[in-house]
Amino acid sequence: MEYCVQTTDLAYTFSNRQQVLDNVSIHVPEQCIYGFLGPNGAGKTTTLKLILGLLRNHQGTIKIFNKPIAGHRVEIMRSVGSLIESPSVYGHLSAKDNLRIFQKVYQCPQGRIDEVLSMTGLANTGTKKAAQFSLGMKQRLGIAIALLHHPALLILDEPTNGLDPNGMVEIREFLKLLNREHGTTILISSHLLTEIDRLATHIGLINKGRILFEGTAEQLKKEKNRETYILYKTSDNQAAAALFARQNIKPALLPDTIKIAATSKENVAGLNRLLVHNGLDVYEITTEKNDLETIFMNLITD
Amino acid sequence: MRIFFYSVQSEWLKTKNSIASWLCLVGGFFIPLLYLIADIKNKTFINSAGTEIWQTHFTRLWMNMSGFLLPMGLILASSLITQVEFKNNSWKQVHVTPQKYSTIFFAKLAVLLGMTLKFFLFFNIGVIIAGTVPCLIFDHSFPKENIPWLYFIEKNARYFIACLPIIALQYLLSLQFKNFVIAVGVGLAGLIGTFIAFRWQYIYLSPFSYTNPFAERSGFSENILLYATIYFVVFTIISFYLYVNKKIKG
Repeated sequence: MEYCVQTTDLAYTFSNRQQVLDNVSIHVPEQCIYGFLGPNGAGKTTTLKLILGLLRNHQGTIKIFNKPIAGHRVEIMRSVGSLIESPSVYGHLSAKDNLRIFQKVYQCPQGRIDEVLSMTGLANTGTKKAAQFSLGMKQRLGIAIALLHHPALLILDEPTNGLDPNGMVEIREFLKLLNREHGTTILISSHLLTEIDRLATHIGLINKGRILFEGTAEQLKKEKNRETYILYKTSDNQAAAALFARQNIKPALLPDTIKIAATSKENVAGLNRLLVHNGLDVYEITTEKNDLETIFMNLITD
Repeated sequence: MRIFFYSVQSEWLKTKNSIASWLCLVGGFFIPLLYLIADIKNKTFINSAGTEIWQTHFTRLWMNMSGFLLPMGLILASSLITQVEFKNNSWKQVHVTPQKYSTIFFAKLAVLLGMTLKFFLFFNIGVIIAGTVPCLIFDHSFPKENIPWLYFIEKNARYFIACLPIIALQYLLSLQFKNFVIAVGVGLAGLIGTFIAFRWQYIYLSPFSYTNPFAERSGFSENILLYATIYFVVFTIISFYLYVNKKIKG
């Protein structure tokens, strides 16, 4: 399989010897939307910065379009657009002038400036200085800069930060369109699970500098489906757990619930009866949710 | 070369409406404007300067400019050129463009030198305006002597080369330190220190000494251009090495 971005055993340590990444290997297939998901401080931005060559002295290899970034940086960057952390816009200049700066460097047609401005909804900003833009507008301008030269690979670090819900939907739909119509590969990081759930075709889960999962969104859900649980909340969870154990069911005692492996609805009702017969009040019986959020929380707390 | 040209264009665009650009304009016209006001107030004219009136007029304005305002302006402008990237958090965007680090480095330096030339241009325009406007206002005769362009060019070139060590040193510092105050502070300390110790026999070792109006009359006047050029080359090489080998580029 051809990978647009491939990292192998990437490790990075800050100058204070704090290890941020530990053997991070990610594989971004061509023309996919790869959601790079992880909580704050998991190592997402560091990984993306390493991929873009913004950080040096790492271990492991990085390949973009099958070429190592070291030695091919300039060539690779001609086909890469990026937005890392907060948008890089020149506050004393208008949106158009900001784009002109990069248009010169990328040597793309001048007409492209108006195109990306209208794509990102900034066509009417006129001579307004970027410093007067809202955070959402700056974010859009950052995306416009990233898109200016028709990149084959778009690397976006938390691009919906600062956008209102409507803006988030717009950007999401826009990225989907970009991927569908132009075949642009998108590597997008986020801590917003819903965003990734709705957008990504492939997912990489990272926590504490380690990759916990990589594959398609369907694979992740399928894998985790095998691990569905029933949760009981009772007046005495200790006693309830002891009763379950006597039925050869292995319960896991959580702070205010008991977790057991998924079973048939008849069994669930039978266990409920058992608890009631033994004088325990049953407050709640629920099936553990199996959406991406739950899977994610389970993975990072395991 | 074409890529470098586009890179310089891109860097030049960043100076539009910037503080460095305003500093260049205001700084260039400041001394000529003061002289113009003084001459209008005192009803003095360039023709009263005796022989070689343009040379005398030019020198008296340069003497006031080059002592403190010129190096101060250079310190500020050099630091502001890179500060634009720190302030806007845009180094990371610059470093993911398809440009070699050497192209980025020298394009910024070229813009800095271009800004200095622009400042010189504004100053020279100011010199001519300050010389001619009082004659227009008081219906005095225009100077009979032609403007000695060659003299102007030669003096400007000399001062420009004298500025190079300050530009290169401040560029080096401002590329290394995100905090604008460090680069400006070091520059100011160097400038004031040079002023205080100007009579010291080894003051020519200070890169801030060559723009000093008394440098031409000092013992090292013959070698000013040589020292300035050496410093510029050395500072630029160090600066380039440190910039290219920076571990974090955004």
